[in-house]
Amino acid sequence: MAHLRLKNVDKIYDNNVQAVFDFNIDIKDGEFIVLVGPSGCGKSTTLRMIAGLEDITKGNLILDDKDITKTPPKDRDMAMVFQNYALYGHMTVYENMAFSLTMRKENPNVIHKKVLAAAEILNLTDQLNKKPSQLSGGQRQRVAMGRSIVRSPKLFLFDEPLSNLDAKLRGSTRREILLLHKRLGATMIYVTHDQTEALTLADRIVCMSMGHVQQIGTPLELYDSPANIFVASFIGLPPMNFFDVKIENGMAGNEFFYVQLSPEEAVALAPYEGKTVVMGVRPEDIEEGGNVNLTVSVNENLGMNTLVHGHLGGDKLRMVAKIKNWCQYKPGDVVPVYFKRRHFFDKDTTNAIRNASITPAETEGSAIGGNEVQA
Amino acid sequence: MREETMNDENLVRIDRMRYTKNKLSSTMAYIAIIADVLYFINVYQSDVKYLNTGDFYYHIIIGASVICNLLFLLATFLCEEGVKNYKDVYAWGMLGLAVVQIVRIFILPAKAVAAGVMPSGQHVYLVAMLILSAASLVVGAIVSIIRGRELSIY
Repeated sequence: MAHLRLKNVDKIYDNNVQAVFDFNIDIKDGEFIVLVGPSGCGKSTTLRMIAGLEDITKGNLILDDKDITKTPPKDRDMAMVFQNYALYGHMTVYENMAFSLTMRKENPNVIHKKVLAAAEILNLTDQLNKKPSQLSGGQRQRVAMGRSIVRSPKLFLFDEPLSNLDAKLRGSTRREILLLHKRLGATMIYVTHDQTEALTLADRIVCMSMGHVQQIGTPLELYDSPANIFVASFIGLPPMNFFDVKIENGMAGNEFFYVQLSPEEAVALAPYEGKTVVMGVRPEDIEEGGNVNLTVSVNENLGMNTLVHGHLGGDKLRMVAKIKNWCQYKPGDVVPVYFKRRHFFDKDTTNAIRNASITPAETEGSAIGGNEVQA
Repeated sequence: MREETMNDENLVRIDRMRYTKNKLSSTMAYIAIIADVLYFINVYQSDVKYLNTGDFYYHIIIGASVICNLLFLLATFLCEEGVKNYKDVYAWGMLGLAVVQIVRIFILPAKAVAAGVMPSGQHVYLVAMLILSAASLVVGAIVSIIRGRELSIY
């Protein structure tokens, strides 16, 4: 268990490219933190700085009140699980898991007990005499995790561990990681570009873009109250729909639709009277039966839901709606919809306009059904 | 209490063998191979280096000696792979190979000494190599037999 703090951490490479800007976070004992963001956003660099594989250009890394900024990786008591497993092909699973302890010249009987315990946790007991080449991708990744577990490190670091697995294995291995975290109660930092992994695994998510932290919060906070347009568009699948709307007389709209603002929204958007802001609507917050006419271009049935891709007003505003039930719309069909829930963002700063994201309960039905006015 | 702990430790040691190789026996087999190679590199040297006749060994079965040596190396390597996995039959094979090494002492080095072809220093060295090779094989085999039995009983 470990308490880790990153204070004003910057990473500037030798070619003057800055990969991470002013990273600050306080990670509590036993917390599961997920760093999420698109490729090149600095999440892996941050993880490697924590592991000691990259130097920290500026700032401090504090583990259990001890500054480890300059501590070599081997003395940090952290275990890292890599995307490509990094297993020794000529060694058996047992030998791979025992390797780090053997190098430390620990008692072989102690090593044996630790390896068996880790194998039991990871359901690898029957595979201990096999070589990595005889295992599936998921099993290999479990061996890589087992190698970390036997060391009983203060901190577990995962660098996109599921990226090499197929979709089905990814799901099952993800659940195993979650169970492992609950069982060990260890502090874990996990890097991924997959928002599903982030939402399902994390106690807290750190959403990054271009080396900057965009938002730190629980999965629900990031989903429900995104700090800016980037977070709103990155978290959620399919991504949020965005429309430019003008705020006028308690209404928000454009040439294709107008929606009546709830009292809370009106208060939050009062400084924007007469200005254009960005309105975001999640596909799952769009329901059939309102006054906004969505012209269907593609209908994708997913079983319980249907993804309806379409546009408003002559293909100018594209939109995706996740409609409950099995729908059979044809291209060109016009579906009346309404926006159950809306988010508003400043057009210039892209930051969320606070208190404007109102839950249906808070709006007491004011934002539900029939409050959109077709232009 | 101490005895219980000792027993427990012993059980863990035996259980460990289910997943670890018999490195001691394997190493002993390799030592036997190395000693044999050192023996063979040196055995024909005296004829050319010290006596400058170069024809003594042609009068005895030099071809058989070479083939015997190759077969020994091959068989020892095979046994090494077997004892590494605690297989009894290979351990017995290693004991057989140890006997072969002892017997060889009384063939080539002995005959060469009797014929006055081999200096005593070289003879001692060659005998030492063959004894080292045989002893390593015996130790490796015994360790493998003991551990193999412990494992099979466990």
